[in-house]
Amino acid sequence: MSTPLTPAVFHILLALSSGERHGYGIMKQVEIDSLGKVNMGAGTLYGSLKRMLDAGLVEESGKRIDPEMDDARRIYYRNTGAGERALADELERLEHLVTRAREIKLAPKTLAYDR
Amino acid sequence: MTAKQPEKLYNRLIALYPREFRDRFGESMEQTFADLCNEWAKTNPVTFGFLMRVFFDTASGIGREHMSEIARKGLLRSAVTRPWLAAVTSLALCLPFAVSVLPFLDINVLADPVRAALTFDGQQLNMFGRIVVFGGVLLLPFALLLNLFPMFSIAGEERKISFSPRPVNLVTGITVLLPVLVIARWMVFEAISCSKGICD
Repeated sequence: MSTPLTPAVFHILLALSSGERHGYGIMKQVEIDSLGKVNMGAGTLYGSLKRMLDAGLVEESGKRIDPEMDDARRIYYRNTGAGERALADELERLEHLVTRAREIKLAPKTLAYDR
Repeated sequence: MTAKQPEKLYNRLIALYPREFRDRFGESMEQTFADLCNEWAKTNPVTFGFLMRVFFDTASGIGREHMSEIARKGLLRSAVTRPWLAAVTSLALCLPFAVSVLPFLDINVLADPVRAALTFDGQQLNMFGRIVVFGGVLLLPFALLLNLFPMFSIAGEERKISFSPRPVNLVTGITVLLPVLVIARWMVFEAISCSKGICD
């Protein structure tokens, strides 16, 4: 199993797992996936995308117009095979943690900050 | 604030990214910021708080990318290819020491030009005045580098450094250089000599 992903990388991979997106599309999808809890800024997004492109987790899939937006051409990104595997590994890791938390009957009310 | 003003400000902010990053993602970042502002403006006014949040995130990104570039290239090569970075780092390292010493300095031991700079209307400057004067002096080398920097560019695969003189930069550079040389001369011939007890 690979090392845990950073929250930004995890959210970007998750956003791109449902299809190719441009920068702003990724930001919107991250917001939807996190129920509005995560608002990723452009600095975080493109910094993470640079590292993910260099690591081969995502790739550019072309520059084209988004029919739902204006007529400017935007660069689209998509997950690579390595990106999909990294996302699957991370989901497995998180699932294991949730299962473990349930095994020890850890509910939100028993957390230290709720006492 | 007009709709285009935040975009102009944001473009200037993006110019602070390392060149490689800017060439690769600058246009996309500008586009994303414009999209964000347009979408936000449909439901909310573009407020100062909204802009601050976006600008702060990008400013943090600029810091991260510069650190990452330094880590990748090595500190020495970064300092050679980007002298302004070396200047800022030097200034940041020197300033706290200088400022912490200056308020308690007895100016009577200093050479005449420096003593004159710290005297106003026959009275010694107070602590704040000294910090302002010495802060200004410390900024001079930085200002000099800032002036010289636009005249140098690194181009081509071999990353050769080319020099293209600009009259404005040359004139302001020389204007800044003169006080730097005066201070350097004082330090070499008077301050250091006196500290070794070989002055009169």
